[in-house]
Amino acid sequence: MTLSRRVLLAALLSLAVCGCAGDDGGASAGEPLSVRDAWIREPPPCSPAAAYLTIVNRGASPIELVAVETAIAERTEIHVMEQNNGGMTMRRTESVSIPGHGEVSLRSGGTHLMLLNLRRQPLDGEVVDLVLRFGDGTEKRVEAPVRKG
Amino acid sequence: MRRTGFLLATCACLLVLSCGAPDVGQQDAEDETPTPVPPLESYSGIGGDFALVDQHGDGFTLMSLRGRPAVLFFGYSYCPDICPTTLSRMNQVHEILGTEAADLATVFITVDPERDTIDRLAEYLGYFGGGVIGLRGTAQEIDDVIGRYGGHYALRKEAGRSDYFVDHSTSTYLIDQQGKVRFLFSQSDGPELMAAVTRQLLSPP
Repeated sequence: MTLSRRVLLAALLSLAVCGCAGDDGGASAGEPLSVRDAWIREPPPCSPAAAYLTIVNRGASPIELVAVETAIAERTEIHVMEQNNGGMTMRRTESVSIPGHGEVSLRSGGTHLMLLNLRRQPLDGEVVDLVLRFGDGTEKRVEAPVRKG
Repeated sequence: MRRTGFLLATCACLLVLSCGAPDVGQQDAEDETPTPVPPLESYSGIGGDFALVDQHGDGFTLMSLRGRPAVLFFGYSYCPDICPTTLSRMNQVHEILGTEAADLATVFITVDPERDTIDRLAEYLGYFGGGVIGLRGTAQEIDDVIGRYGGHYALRKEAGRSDYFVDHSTSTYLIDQQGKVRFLFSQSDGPELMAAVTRQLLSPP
């Protein structure tokens, strides 16, 4: 019985791990931050690329996203878009705060990540690594699929 | 066996807890309550004919569409988010409408003629396919056209950096076969709604 229980436990734990394999950047036990729905819009030639994702903060304290890095871009920025008199105003910001027990979506038409001076054009179907750096010194590696849209 | 069952239930809960959270908040998108299609409108004071140059270097006037309806918007090729979204959405509108929209022209007017040369416009719009008509002119000509359409833009050049972004109006204008603006789409309007509104123009009751 003991042996079979151990086998069952191991099987279920591996199932739990496998079940989340596609959820890259997910928080493991005790880790307050997770990232989901990351993707990059395939950019037209010689245009910057926008990246989108949702950061979930399960901790009690707010945390700041302060930088993003990726091998495919020389520079990345966080841009805030605001509706203004029938148009969009975009401005660069140094950080995005994710409230405690909250989440922030970086999405099209809203605050989003900008990948500038691309070293190469990311193409539909590939997966690009992003490294998110936070104000408390932690960082999170996220896999962002590239798609048209 | 009871302990094994407890273990099973505990692990199952862990599985749900560890994987369930990412889907929270995704349910609303599946609410398929049909929304009424907004009627076509008439707008006084905005729109009208204009003369610019297309991405092949040929002169273009709105009247040269000769009875074709059009969807028109302002943007620029270095735009990272709004413009590619709008161009992709127009492709979706064409897919939804199919042959009904064979005559529907998509017109993209750059507010950044300094960087959007004829060749650059051809390269940029070629990426999206779908026969988009790309237009440019002098800054003065662009100011005149966007002003006539009630829009605005502002170049955000910064000292110390070579690239820049442009704040611009994001309305998309639906223009009828007589060259009159008949609807203003906003960025939050999806391709289904845009197709439904446009269909009224293609098949008047």
